Amino acid sequence: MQRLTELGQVVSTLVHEVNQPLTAISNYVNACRRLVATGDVERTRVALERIADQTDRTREIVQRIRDFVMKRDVRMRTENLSHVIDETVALARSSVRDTGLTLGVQMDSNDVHVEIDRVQVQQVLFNLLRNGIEAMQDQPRRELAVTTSRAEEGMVKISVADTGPGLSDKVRLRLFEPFVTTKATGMGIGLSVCRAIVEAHRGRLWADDNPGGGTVFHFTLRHAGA
Amino acid sequence: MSDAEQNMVAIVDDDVAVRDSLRFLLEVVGCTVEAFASAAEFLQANVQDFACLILDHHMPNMTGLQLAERLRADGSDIPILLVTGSPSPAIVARAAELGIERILEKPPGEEDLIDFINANRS
Repeated sequence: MQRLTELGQVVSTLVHEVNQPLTAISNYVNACRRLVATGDVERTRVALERIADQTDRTREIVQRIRDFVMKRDVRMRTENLSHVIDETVALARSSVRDTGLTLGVQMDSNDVHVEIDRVQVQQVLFNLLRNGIEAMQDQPRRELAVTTSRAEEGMVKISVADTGPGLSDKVRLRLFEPFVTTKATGMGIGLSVCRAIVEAHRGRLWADDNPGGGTVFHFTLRHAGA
Repeated sequence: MSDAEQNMVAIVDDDVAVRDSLRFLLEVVGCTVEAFASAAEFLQANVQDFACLILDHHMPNMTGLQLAERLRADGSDIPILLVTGSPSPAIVARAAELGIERILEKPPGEEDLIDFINANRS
């Protein structure tokens, strides 16, 4: 079940990506039909070169589909949680051009080890970070805070808090449904997939109000050896 | 102003290949085209210069629908054709509210594009 929803999300992103060169090819082909009818060899030549480029681009996307399908066995390993978080936060930071946005990390301990599929958990965290960043887009105060803390026996909790407008009741109800998004771009993997990943790790993913205004997403992971 | 200049078509799409190919095609058809890489870029231009707008929905920072919203709020009734890879009911409904003439699924058909442009020539 989890692998199916994850696959669906990735497929939908890749379909969007492949539509771009496909659209370009379609436009150039239609242009060529007209150019050939009027004998405009030079412009036909230009269009054909561009079609070739876009075909290469499509080939690269297809290769990525192949890579994804082949490489995505779940690999559970013991990982240092602070390394996992730091890496993901660095990636999210590099995607932000807003100089007024602060992204802070506060870890309960730097020596926590968790039993996880690193790539999957990083996908979840990255998604939550991107959601927080986008939620705060039009806010005067834009602070994203990542913290770790103890959870119930054998678990550690990771929290991502934003100072965005918060969740309306209507959105909160549908938050983890598949294919529901308020976002324009498909950078994330979707909250329903995030939840599926966390639950496959025997943790929980949920959202709360941020007391100072905004939203906090929490998810729990198992300590290694727990 | 020549007839072609009066009927300038604006294109907004964040993908350079889609932008260039659409401009190429429309110029072959005989249109005068100006292409913009983002909603923000288009907002810096003079909207009244254009007879109609072909607008991609799925863009970072400001979506096609958000740009349309802004144009309508600023008092522009420029005819808009929205192109989207996934026309959800929410998008269709919102587009209708904003008086968007047509929505086409990506990749848009040549005939539909040309029909829209011809319908909005002065």
